[in-house]
Amino acid sequence: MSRTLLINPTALEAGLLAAAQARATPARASALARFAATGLPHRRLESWKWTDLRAALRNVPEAEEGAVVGRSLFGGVDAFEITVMNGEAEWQGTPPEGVAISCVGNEAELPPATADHPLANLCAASVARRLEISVAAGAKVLRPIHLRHVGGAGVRHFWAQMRLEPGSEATLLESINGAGAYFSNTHLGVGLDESARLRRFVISDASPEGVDAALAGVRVGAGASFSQCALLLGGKASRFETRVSCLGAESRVDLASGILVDEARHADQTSLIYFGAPGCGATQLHKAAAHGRARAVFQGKFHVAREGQKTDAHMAARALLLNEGAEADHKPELEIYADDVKCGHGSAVGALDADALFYFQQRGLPPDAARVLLIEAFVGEVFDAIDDAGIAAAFRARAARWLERAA
Amino acid sequence: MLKIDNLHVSVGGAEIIRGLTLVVPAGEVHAIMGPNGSGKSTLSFALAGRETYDVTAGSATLNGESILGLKPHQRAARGLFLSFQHPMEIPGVPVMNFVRTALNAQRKASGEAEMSAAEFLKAFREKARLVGLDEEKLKRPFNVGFSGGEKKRMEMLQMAMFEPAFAVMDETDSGLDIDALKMVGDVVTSLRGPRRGFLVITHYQRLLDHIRPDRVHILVRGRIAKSGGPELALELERSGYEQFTAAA
Ligand SMILES: Nc1ncnc2c1ncn2[C@@H]1O[C@H](COP(=O)(O)OP(=O)(O)O)[C@@H](O)[C@H]1O
Ligand SMILES: [Mg+2]
Repeated sequence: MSRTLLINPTALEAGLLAAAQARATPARASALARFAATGLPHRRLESWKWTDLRAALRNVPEAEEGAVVGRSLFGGVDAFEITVMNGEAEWQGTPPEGVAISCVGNEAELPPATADHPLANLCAASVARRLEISVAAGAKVLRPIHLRHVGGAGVRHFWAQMRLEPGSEATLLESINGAGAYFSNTHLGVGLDESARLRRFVISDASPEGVDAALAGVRVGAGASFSQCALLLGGKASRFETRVSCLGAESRVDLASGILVDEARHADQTSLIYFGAPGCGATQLHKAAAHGRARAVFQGKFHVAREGQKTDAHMAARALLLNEGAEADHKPELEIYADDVKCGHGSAVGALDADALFYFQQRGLPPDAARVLLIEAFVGEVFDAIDDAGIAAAFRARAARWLERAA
Repeated sequence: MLKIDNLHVSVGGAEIIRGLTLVVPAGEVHAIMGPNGSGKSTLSFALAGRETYDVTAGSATLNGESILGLKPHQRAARGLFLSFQHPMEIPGVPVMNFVRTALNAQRKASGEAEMSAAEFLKAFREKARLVGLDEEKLKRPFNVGFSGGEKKRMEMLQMAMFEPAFAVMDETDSGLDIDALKMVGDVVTSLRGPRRGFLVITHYQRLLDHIRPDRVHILVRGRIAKSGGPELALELERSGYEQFTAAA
């Protein structure tokens, strides 16, 4: 049994350590030791400087009985639903053909992409079981699988592993909905074998008191593709992190994200795409709008290893500040060790275009309607690439509800 | 009728319009000509109500109602239309959505019923043909990928759709070829009527071959330096602005 290294743990950290220690198996004990080395991520860690989870969790969220299940954020989409209630997965009926779903005891090590991540380690140390989803070789699964996270106040961890065998295709929807004060820590590991294709769509709608951390580690094999679109509405602190490793030649990654935050909410989009094989391509588009005293964080990094020759990767991040108190923090990063690559990034933070606002009003639109139309157009670009009309409509509807209130 | 009396407008603390008086009776088309920097665009923005243009003195009424206290969208709802010298591109907003949303906002403000989708589409297609914009362009985001001339056609398309009580056209002719100038003339002619007025701002006389103005005013350093009939534009074409700038 390893010893706790954490000096001066917060009340929550002490509780997390004690709970995990009580149930430790060898694999879980080593995860626990790695978590204990840093504790909850805080602002003195470079990649957490804008998202201080330790501070946000100064007060331990007290568990309350009975979770609140709001309406589905993907209401209009026919999907196979797996409800994850306070960290426990449940489903009814048989999964779509080609898909196997099970809950297994947690004995495995973390996959390499996230093995050094404090929250992944906390998750691995804390959960007794994890969800496994696998898609059989060659299966083209049309019906999306919906991981619907719901929960009330309290602390919860959830770990799911998903594997797409060669040539298979699937769509994963994730909605994160919470009520009250909570800390939700989810970890998704994805393995895409040769020529597999996964589309992942996420709407994260935490409560204003909720602290939410969702981490995904995605391995992309040769000729495989991973596309993701996420809409983040923020919480007390909300981190949405994706680590993608292109480990096979000619793999493709497309990341799109939108942040809409108001009042005192905070949302953080952090991503890393690692190019470790030749001929891979990636696009990343991020748009954020912040109102009130809200804060929108974007950290995007492309890491092109020496093996990543002929990488073609482009990143664009833009944020709109809708009033004085709102804040956007952007950190786009390229780290390139291969010499024959095409990589670029652009980042901009600004206010609504006064010329366009005036133009709209000259054409008869009241100021509020002009603002809504402009913000909608700005953020809407993130959803343009969604090729499923029902899923696109779910994103646009949630964005429209936000605009009605905030703009 | 548009009536401007002793108007003073400052931009960023500098007085640009310095006591301008002008009356455009209903049913008439007046042209304002003037050298670069004389305040033509400042006048049009001030009339349309752009915030950063401070009206420090004077008055402006449209059909008897003072417009200077109104917000830009309220002026639009009263029928004031500005054709922009430099129309903007608005990514993410499809042309037709925008025009329809704007049209219905104006209708709503003046208590009229919204235009049905079918009715709108029919009118829109017809006006698009009139201004010479092809359908493919109209499926795009507003003005994105349009040439300078196409943006001006888009302004004329909106003017034709909105049928404003009073239109201020700020250098609609700049960047247009001969055919397009004729098109602008056709749109103005089709809208011309006893209850409608136009203020056509231009740098050159050539647009006025297609729009026969009732009166021509010469704007120099924020004031009307001279007014006259259409012949004034021809005189200007021959001898330039110098005689007026020297006097002003
Ligand atoms: N937004 C602005 N800020 C500062 N100065 C301006 C602005 N707009 C116009 N001006 C100044 O006002 C004067 C008149 O400009 P403008 O009305 O655009 O002239 P015109 O349209 O006749 O060419 C010019 O000297 C110009 O530099
Ligand atoms: Mg001008």
